[in-house]
Amino acid sequence: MLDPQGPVGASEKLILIDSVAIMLTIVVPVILATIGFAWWFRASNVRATYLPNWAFSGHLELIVWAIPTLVITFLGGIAWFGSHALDPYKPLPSTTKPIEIEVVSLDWKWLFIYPNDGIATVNQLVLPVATPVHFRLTSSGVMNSFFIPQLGSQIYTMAGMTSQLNLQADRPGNYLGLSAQFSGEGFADMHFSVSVVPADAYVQWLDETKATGPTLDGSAYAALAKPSRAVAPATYKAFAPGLFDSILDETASPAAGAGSGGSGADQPPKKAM
Amino acid sequence: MSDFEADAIRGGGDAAPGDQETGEHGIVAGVRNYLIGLALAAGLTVSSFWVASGTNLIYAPGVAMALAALAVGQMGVHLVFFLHITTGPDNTNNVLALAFGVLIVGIVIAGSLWIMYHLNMNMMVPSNMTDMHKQT
Amino acid sequence: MLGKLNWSAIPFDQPIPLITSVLVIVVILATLAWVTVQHHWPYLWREWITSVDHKRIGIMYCGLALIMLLRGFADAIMMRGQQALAYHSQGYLPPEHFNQIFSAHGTIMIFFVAMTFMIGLMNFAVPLQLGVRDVAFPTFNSVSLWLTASAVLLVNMSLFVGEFAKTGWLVYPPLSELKFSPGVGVDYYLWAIQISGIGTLLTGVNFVTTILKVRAPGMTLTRMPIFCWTALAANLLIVAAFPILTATLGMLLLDRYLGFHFFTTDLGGNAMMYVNLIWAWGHPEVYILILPAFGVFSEVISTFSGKPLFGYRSMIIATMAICILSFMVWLHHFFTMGAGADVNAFFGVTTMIIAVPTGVKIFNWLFTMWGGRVRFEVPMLWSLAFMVTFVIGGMTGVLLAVPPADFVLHNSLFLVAHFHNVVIGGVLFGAFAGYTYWFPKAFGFKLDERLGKAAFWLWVIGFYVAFMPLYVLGLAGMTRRMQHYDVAEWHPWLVVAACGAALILAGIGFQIAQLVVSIGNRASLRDRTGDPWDGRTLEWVTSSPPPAFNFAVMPNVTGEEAYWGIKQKALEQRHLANPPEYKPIEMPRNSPTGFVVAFFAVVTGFALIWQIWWMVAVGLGGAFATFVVFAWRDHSEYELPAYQLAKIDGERRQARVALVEGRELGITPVQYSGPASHDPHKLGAARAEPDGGHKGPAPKRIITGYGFWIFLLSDFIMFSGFYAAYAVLSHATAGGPAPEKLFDLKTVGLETAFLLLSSFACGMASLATGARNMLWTQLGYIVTGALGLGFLVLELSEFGRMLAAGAGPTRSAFLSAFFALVGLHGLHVTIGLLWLGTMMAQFWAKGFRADIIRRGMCFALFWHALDIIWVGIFTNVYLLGTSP
Repeated sequence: MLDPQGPVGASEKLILIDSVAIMLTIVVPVILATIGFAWWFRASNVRATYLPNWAFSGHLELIVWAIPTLVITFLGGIAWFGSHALDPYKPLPSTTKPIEIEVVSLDWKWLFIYPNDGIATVNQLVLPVATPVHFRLTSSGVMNSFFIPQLGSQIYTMAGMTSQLNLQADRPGNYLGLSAQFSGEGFADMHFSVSVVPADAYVQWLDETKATGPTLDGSAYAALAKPSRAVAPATYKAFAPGLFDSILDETASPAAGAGSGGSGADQPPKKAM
Repeated sequence: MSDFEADAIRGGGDAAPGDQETGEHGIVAGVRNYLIGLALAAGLTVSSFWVASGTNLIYAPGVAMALAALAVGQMGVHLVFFLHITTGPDNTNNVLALAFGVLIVGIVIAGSLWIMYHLNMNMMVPSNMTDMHKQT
Repeated sequence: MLGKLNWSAIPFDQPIPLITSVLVIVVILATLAWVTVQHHWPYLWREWITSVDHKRIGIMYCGLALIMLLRGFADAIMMRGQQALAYHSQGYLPPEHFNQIFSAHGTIMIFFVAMTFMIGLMNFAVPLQLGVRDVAFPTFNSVSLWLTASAVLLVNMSLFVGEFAKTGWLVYPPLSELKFSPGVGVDYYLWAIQISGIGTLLTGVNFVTTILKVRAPGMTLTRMPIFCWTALAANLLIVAAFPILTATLGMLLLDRYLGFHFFTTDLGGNAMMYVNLIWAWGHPEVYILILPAFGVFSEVISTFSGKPLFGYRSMIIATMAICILSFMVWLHHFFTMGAGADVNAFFGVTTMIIAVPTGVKIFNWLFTMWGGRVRFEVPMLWSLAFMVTFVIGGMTGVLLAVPPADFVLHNSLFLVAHFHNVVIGGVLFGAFAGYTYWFPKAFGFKLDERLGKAAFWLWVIGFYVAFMPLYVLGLAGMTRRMQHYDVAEWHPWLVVAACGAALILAGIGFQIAQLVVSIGNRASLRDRTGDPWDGRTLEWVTSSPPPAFNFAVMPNVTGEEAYWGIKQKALEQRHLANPPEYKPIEMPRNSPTGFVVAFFAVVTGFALIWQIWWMVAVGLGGAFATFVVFAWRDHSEYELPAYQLAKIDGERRQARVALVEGRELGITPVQYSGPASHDPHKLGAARAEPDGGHKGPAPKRIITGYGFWIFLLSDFIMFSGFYAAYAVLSHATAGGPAPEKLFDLKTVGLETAFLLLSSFACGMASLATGARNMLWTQLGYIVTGALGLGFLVLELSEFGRMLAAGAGPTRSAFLSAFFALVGLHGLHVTIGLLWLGTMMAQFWAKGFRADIIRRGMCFALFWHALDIIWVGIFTNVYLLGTSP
């Protein structure tokens, strides 16, 4: 995260460093003053004046309220403009047309659908360099958070909801992606690899993927959606049309429950009151 | 024992919530007070139901606001005539506590609605739109 | 017969919990056996278990918190060990165990260590500082304590019988829904927190009432020590925030037990609503913990600097500002949920605004030391470490409040480091400062200083070694709650963090040693004067430990720092004021109510978790019966005669005389010889009357009424949680019936008429009680009850009609919210009817006794308040739902 590889991550790192720097100008003196005051006014120091009744000073009160207020005004401004400029929903300025990727968090792996290219992958994300990516995200069941630390912002994935995220990678390379929201037993293995490749290599990868591997149809998705841990990356040459929306509508296949032993998925006691 | 005296003297310029200014007229004034409260509350309730029943006399988009106003009014009537909350100095503490409670209720409800409205707008609308898309 | 409970609930195949629980059970049995053999039961029962003395209760709270600190820390060190080992391996804890451990760690540390400790300190110190003899409702105070203990018992039972939640300490749905967490773990969490929540709410009501209505003569609000102010703010937050928690967890319970759809993934449920509501409680909760700690630091820094607190007025303003602002920031816990730029920015800015009053406090403590004579005793060391550590935690907190920064730091170890930085560096250091500071007052001897300093340094260094690496890890992209990982660069930092945990372990070892050694050396550590630290507030005027009644004569307060003024005057004149005229005082009697109710709470909670329904009935019935018996008792107080007071107080005065005459007693009070300066800016100084217009504690009727009023407000706030849920979910009909087709306004109108008339009848009964007319009182109550019953019958028949039409609460989120909201009101009416029945019987049997009349006043408030809630319901639910 301190080594950002895209514009979103870079801005966020800058904001972070700015904010820390601003606050350090107060925090460091306060820490020093705490130690200094306590040491100078130690009971055994005869040179320190004792002011046993001094407990109010209008000027100091003013300064005491003013310093944090001013710092917070500055930081508040950063927060306000930063939230608007870096809103995950906001498309990134670019001359290149963004590519669309649909993300589904399953128990416990990530499904990536490339709707315009007709392919899908699991636990593996391949992106072209210097191209904005527009993610639409949802979940098959529990909440997760989609996060590629070196590219920047994360966002929650939730069943029945679509969240959106815009990211871009500026340098080719392999990055780590993971879930930042605890989601149950297989959570620790819920990470994926992000390969950022040059444009021509990306096209080549798309072509290769379209030519090989299984198809993610209804039954393949149902099998995939069952809880499983530490799933190896895989690709699908095609997927059932409208897969993402059908997962959203929860019509694809009833999302299987977690639970130890995989049992007890569908037994809420539907008692009448 | 001492409690009865305490009731009489209202220690420290302070009243318990719900304590009533019975004064000299005692029971009669008390009953009158409850009767006024009952009449006002009943009137406001009837008005509310009448407004909601779809009368043509009220501009339709204003119905919700009319109902809200009537409800707030009726809550006020209950506070004043049944719970005996007044603006008198002996009630300051009770009113302050009430104000704090109302503030928190307001923050929780308004804040939640504002947040949830934005969350739902950002995340549920696309799904509804796809629904509509499929229907066409 | 036993619901879901069977032998598979005992973890025979998991060695760690099995061995731990067997050990714990052996230790408990051994302790009980020892107590029995030594015949300590009568003493324990009389002096502790049934005690309603706020000091005893405070000590028991702190003891409970210290024991739970050991449990929570054991969890912590297991997690640190696991993460230090689990690089490219599974470590030694499988996920289902690791996940329980971090959930239990968070739950225990927040609810049963931090909060319990702070409530303990407030219990011990606040009434003493206010110069009074007890809290407003001593028996309820005992109920609070024992309910907290019940919850602790339930949480720890889960180690041996069943399992604990594996979902994190805030049990986010949908993960915590039955579909994804079918076991009893989440149920243990939910029922334990609900039970302790009732206890905490009662504490909140009790302390708000105490601080606002029960103070010594002359103790005006602006003369109260800052600890009392922070306690007031914290308890206002409890009263306002805990009902939201109760409501939210209640909705999750309805989902899990009755198939409702508040937060499920199907039929319109909306888990975002849970996250929203839980943080509407969760953020104020943070300030419930830290505000009392701020109070402790204020007292300690002022005392050990030998100076009044700098900027007393600023401190009050800052405290109350934090109290309100803490309710306006909760979204910063879920910036990454996607609420949009405006909402995120708004809550980011409000969050930062809280940093202003907090910063002011830091500066005020700093200037309190300026011109002081700083003594580096253990409480002061904790306070200094707090100031240094807390500004770092505050800085990272403000950083997380910047939404774009939070987008990359949320749920990372950076966040974990931040909140440990403020909770350990703020709350826990505050708890330790308060523990060392008030220990001599509680037990009459100081804690060993050398061991205390050793523990202090190990803790502080251990804290930095354990948590600074987590900041680095967060910046390196590591998220929290990972049972194992494959990233090489994370590993060394996690090993360092584990070493830090080991240092803290050593610190805890020294604290235990300190306690044991100090008890052994108590004779040489004895505090004879009652004022071991040269204190400034009223708790130091009485002896150590104080007598049950605290003050033989209630102190007359004439300014800020009440005791400092008295002491300076006495030192100047080398003479203690003449003995006062002692008058007999009335003290509350001991009561086993709290303990017995807590016993039934454990029974009920356990039965609910395992769904043993007959046992639920036994538990609830038992708890109700206990309260009835309590309400029935004839003597709630006992009288201490004046001669006894004179004797006890005489001993205290002897030590005092020695102190003011300058005889060596282990401490040398600072005497200020300069001219007495009158600070014109001091609040209260300008008042003409020396007592500032405050005549002392309010009469009982006002205390009771005010306490109940505060409770009612918390009830309103609980309803507001359900209102909010209904407003959000009312359109989530999931294709099922919608409001306009479902509701029958005629029935609703009739229900309203019943309720209104019932309220009127209740008013008549109140008037009759005022005139001491039994016939009309009973008649009024009979009509009240009959009409209330009519309301209930109508409502239930309406519910029945809807259920029969297939419009039950399991049909859609809208119907879930509807049944919950309206049903909750119905439940209140039912409880009101039960209460009414008991009260009528009491009036009949005991006549117009003062306490029963007070109860009648509370009942009237309750009954009229139900009308107000009903007005909200019929307008928002029925009328708005059906209007075109």
